Amino acid sequence: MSARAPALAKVRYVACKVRLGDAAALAGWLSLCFGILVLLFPSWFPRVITESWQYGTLVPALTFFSVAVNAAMYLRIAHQQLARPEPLASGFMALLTVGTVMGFGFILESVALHAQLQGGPSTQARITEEVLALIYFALIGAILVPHFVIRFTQNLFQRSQS
Amino acid sequence: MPELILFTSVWPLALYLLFGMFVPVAMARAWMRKSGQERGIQIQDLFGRGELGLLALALTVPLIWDLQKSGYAPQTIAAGSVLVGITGMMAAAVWVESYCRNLTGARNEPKRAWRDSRNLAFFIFTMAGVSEILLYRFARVLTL
Repeated sequence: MSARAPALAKVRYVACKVRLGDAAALAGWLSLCFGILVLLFPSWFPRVITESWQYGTLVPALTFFSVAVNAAMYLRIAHQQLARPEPLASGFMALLTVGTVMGFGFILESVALHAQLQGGPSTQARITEEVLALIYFALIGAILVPHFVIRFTQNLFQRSQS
Repeated sequence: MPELILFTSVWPLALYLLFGMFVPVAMARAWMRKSGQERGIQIQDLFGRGELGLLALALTVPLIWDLQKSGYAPQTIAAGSVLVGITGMMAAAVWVESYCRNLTGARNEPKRAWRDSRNLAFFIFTMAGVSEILLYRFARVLTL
């Protein structure tokens, strides 16, 4: 009996395993870019962020950006590990990313309200700084939190299987 | 002006690099030379089992402390502190996992521990830098 031809042999895929180090590297580079933008354009960059938040475009744009970046990274990891991307994990990751950004969006609204109620001479500048800080945390959180949750659930799943 | 912000906000972070990474490597190299060993010591030799994760955890503690002392809204402080705390735990987990694997003789991949701890330390270092810059900016706004 002859051996099966390599082209006909069934390719065996393994499940894609997300590592926190990969997400951390991406978050680190994004963080570095954010810091450089704040340093190089100390008034223009925060103003753009605040104005786009006031026009209501910042949170949807950040959601789209985070989902796209997370999806690209997940596919890249799957490609590197020769693993099959799981639709459930991809959907779960997108859902967590959207949830994280939306959560930070709600915090942003309450913080702006808090600053307006406090009043004072520098309310607008204060709101700008709060928006800048929260958008930074939202950007980092949208990258890290989904990977953290998926990694944790993967470990739990492995333990229950073994 | 940006140079001034960079200097006043970020220079304490350089101390972590100096005393946390470069001084131990210099001490290890001096010890090797003193004992007549030919082998050179690199950063990876000292921190190859995820020890950078421990250093990164040490960096998150003053960052949370600075956030708590800042004049940000309570929601911002809480969100930032939780996020920084989670990343610190992630970094420490790399070191703990590698240590436990070594201790129990379980399958260990030092390259993976080194890569993960290096990436997490890089991220926490940049996050600490950006957070300190944002804290500095906010403190200036409060004094207006």
